Amino acid sequence: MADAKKLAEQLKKLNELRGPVPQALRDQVAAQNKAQKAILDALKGGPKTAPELAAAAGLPADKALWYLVGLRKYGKIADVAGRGDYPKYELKAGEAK
Amino acid sequence: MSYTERIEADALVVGSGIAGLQAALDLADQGYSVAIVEKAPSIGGKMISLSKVFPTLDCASCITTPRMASVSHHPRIRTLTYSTVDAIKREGGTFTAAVTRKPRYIDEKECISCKRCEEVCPVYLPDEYEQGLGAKKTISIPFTNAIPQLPVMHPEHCIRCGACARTCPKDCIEFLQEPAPVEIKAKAVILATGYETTPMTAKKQYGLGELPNVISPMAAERLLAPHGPYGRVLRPSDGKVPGSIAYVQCAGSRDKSIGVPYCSRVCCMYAIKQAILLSGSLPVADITIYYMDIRAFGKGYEQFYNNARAMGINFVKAKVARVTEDADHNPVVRIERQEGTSAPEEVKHDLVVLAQGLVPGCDVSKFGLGAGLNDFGFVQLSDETVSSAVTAGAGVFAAGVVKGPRDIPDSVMDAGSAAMEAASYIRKL
Amino acid sequence: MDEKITEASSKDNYRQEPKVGVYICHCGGNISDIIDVKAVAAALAKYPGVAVAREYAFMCSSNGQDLIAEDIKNLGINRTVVAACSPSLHELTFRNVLQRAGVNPYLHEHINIREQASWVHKADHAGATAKAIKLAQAGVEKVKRKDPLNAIRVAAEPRVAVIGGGVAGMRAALSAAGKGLEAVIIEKAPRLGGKLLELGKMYPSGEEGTAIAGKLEALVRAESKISVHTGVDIDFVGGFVGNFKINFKNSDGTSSQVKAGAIIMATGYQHYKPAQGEFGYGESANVVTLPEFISLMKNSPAGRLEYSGKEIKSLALIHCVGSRQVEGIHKPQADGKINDYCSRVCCSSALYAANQVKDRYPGVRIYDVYRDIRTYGMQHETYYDKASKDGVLFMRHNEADQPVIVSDRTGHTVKVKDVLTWGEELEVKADLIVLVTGMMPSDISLIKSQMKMPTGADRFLQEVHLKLRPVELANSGVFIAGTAQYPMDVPEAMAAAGTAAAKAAILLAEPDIPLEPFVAVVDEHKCTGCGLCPAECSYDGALMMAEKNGKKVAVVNPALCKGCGACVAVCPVRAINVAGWTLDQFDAMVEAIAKE
Repeated sequence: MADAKKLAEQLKKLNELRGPVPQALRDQVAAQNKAQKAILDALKGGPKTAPELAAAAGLPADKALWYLVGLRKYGKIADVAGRGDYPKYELKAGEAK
Repeated sequence: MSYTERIEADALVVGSGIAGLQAALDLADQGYSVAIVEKAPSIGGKMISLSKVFPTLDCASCITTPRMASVSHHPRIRTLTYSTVDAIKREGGTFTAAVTRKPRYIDEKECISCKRCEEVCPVYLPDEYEQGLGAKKTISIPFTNAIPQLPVMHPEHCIRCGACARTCPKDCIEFLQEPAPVEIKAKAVILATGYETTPMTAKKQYGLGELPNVISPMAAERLLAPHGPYGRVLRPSDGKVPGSIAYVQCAGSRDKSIGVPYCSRVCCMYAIKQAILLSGSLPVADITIYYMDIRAFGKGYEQFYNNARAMGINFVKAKVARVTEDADHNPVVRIERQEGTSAPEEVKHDLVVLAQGLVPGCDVSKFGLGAGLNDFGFVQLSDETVSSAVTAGAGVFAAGVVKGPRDIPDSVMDAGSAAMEAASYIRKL
Repeated sequence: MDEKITEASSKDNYRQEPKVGVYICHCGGNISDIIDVKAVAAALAKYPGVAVAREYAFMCSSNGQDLIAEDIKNLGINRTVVAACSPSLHELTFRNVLQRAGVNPYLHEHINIREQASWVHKADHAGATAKAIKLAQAGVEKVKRKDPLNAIRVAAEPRVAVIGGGVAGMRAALSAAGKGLEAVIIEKAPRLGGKLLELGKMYPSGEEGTAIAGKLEALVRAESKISVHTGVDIDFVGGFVGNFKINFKNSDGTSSQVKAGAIIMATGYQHYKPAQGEFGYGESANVVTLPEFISLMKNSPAGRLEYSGKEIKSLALIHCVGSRQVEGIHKPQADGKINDYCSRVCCSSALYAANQVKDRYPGVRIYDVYRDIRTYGMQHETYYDKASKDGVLFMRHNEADQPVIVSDRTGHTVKVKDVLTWGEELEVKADLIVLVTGMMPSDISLIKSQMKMPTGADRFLQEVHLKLRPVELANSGVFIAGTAQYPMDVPEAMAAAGTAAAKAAILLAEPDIPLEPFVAVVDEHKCTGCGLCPAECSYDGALMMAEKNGKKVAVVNPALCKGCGACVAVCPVRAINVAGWTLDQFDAMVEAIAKE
């Protein structure tokens, strides 16, 4: 684990070298966090498909799917087994709260 | 130039796809020392990202990972990944390559590949390994089977929150890391820089890459791969299981309008293979291949094609004039049949794969090695009826797709001859 | 504490109590989609003698291999079972892991739960899982009873014998000699060059076949490490890796023998010979094959394309004669099989020839009757383009609608149900019919039967694995170069031949060659000298009766024994075992599988 002081120095140096973190990047990450939270909130009500989650989170379906892929890869949500044109996703145990 | 490291080897292999790996192994197994330089963060090239490979339907990982492991464990092979060859100079019988190791922003010696940095990083990015369909983090290990298992940080996407550094058990995050110049001296060079696919944006009639459900064959490979982005076959626009999938053949080959008049050799076969795999994972789906000529010319290929037809895959002799989409992003393919009826038709599918062709992965003329190129940027051999590897540059040999499109069996079969030519050249120095 | 374990285990791990590590591979989803790999690992973890059982996405990957190496180091694992794909793919991979970690590599057992469980029981997940558990348990029982083995080393002749002196054979010999190996070319024809000597101008270089062959021959003649025997007749090929013998009769009637550590089969191809009456071949005049046509063009005067003294004003090329044959449509060959493969080079050759006709005799009308045009090579598409531009008329048919040739005194009529005009029945007149014939492998039945070389359904020599070992035959030490394996053009044959030479050079890089130790071992105390076993042995000299310590016993020559086990089966007193595959091990495996 990094020494807090050393890390702070490194990050400060980084800010000096490259300038502050661009606002566009900050906005992008904020939008990402908001979208992911909206998806996870919507899933608290039970398993849903990508278009359903897109509607609930106010996102285009392809964007919602991409967020689902990320949340799935990093263990926040899981596939629901079953048939049908649109597969459903659910919260992974332990991620419900 | 002050180099951080100097490496001496008998041969320098540029590129670590299947041809580069095989050429390196075939040299090292004869007792020669080899240095490999690979621009990607992992060795394995294009092949490691494929699902299964024709005509045997082995999983691509099953064939590639052992080669990758052999190279990484080989006592006579040194591999530099995430590194670029900036220049190669030849003096007498010695090549001197200036190589830059790009910063991963971690201490490569200390990292234990625990992935904790990746887990805590809050920024998600499109994953190019998954052809943009999947997500990764700003700091992440490229993929499950990557060698080496080291994360790469993308500083342009980093919000400098410091979470990775705080969680790393080995304290090996280095935000201030710089590129490291390395010098490699070698007696021979093997170019194995492979290919890229023709760009999705190449053809206006096929949607310029802007239609979400018109995808590249590499994306289709990822959809079919065991650890693909969705874990199953879905279409990118809305996560629907596609019920109808079409392949547009020669979407980036045999086409003078995009500067690729040649046949790319692999597209018929990868389309047939993907169609077979798709019909395995989606048994009720309709799969159509629109084609001009099916070129199943290799060993076992015609039989593979016949099997696909017997499985019910629909082969339609037709030219595809245009691909558009309807309001629900369903691709609409306008075809002119070459068989049956001549009237143009519009056919709606759920997902369309454009069979893109192959173009050179690297402009090797920038190395100034004297290896001539043909009109399309592939390496031209001195006399291909005498040797399949000797270029016009003394001590410079070529392996695999750098000489022109070829499939995996042909590339593997080709790599050994490049190793052999390099070996006899070195021996006679 | 840890250090002590490591130290003790690295010293003499196999004499200790077996500590088995079991590793279940997902093989991506190939296994784990069907088999509950976690359940298999859990069941094996509880099995007697198993110290650890793990599952992982790809055991063969570097990570997977490291997992095993770490367990050997940290847990003192001294035997391993990997339950994964077929041992032909990756048994060696895992033996190497053991070797690197300091454990005898033969204390490993590779269990195939992909082909033998997940792939064959796709619909029965529970059954496949149960079977995988049983198979893995049997593997544990076997590996517990294994003894460390060492590779048998045999001295190798530092020489490569190349059978066939066509372009592939010459290239292979040159590449081997370039590396410093002695190479011997053995060619049945009176001169080097093979099929190229019969052909005229060839793609891609436009040189005459004789010129291409001549360039290679000049290099061969200049290479002191290559010796050449032409005009010879091979009567025997035998021996084993490192020590092959090839006997042949020279053209002067004398006999010679070549001893070699490796053999490269560059025996080439023969042109498909159309059946009597196939498209009128052998019956009507003016029906020739493409190779015949190419030589005919070579001899034709400028300005006038001639055949049998008559001017040819029109000709039709019929593609896929003897290739891409279809069951029920085409007559089988003498062996009862059809040629269902594509001969790869004929489309480009045919169009290249058509272009030459158009260049030299612009007035000649050419019809090209095809199913698919397969001009796949870098420049080949330009042959197709040029032919189209120069007015070659293409007619395309489906496999079910083969073209028909009707011949009379006025010439030939070609009838084609043409796809390009949406199924119109076209009829064209042609003075000459050129059958674009494919390739078949040369007749090498004598060598194949003496060496028991494998061939595929297409009769070409069969490599071990198209991607992993593309130029190796299952016969250790025998490699394939060029069209003996499959149709290829000259540049492709160059690549294949260079790679075959590379594999031979790797094999012969050391003065001796390691052989698998899986050979018959006789327990001399048990052997009663009954003499039943030598009669069963199919490998000359591998097993003989001899006097030892005043007792007649069976004696094995480990360099010749292939470990087939035929002798084991007939021994009435269980005195013979194949090392690594003993009867006790089999008994234990059967018991593990049969146990409730």
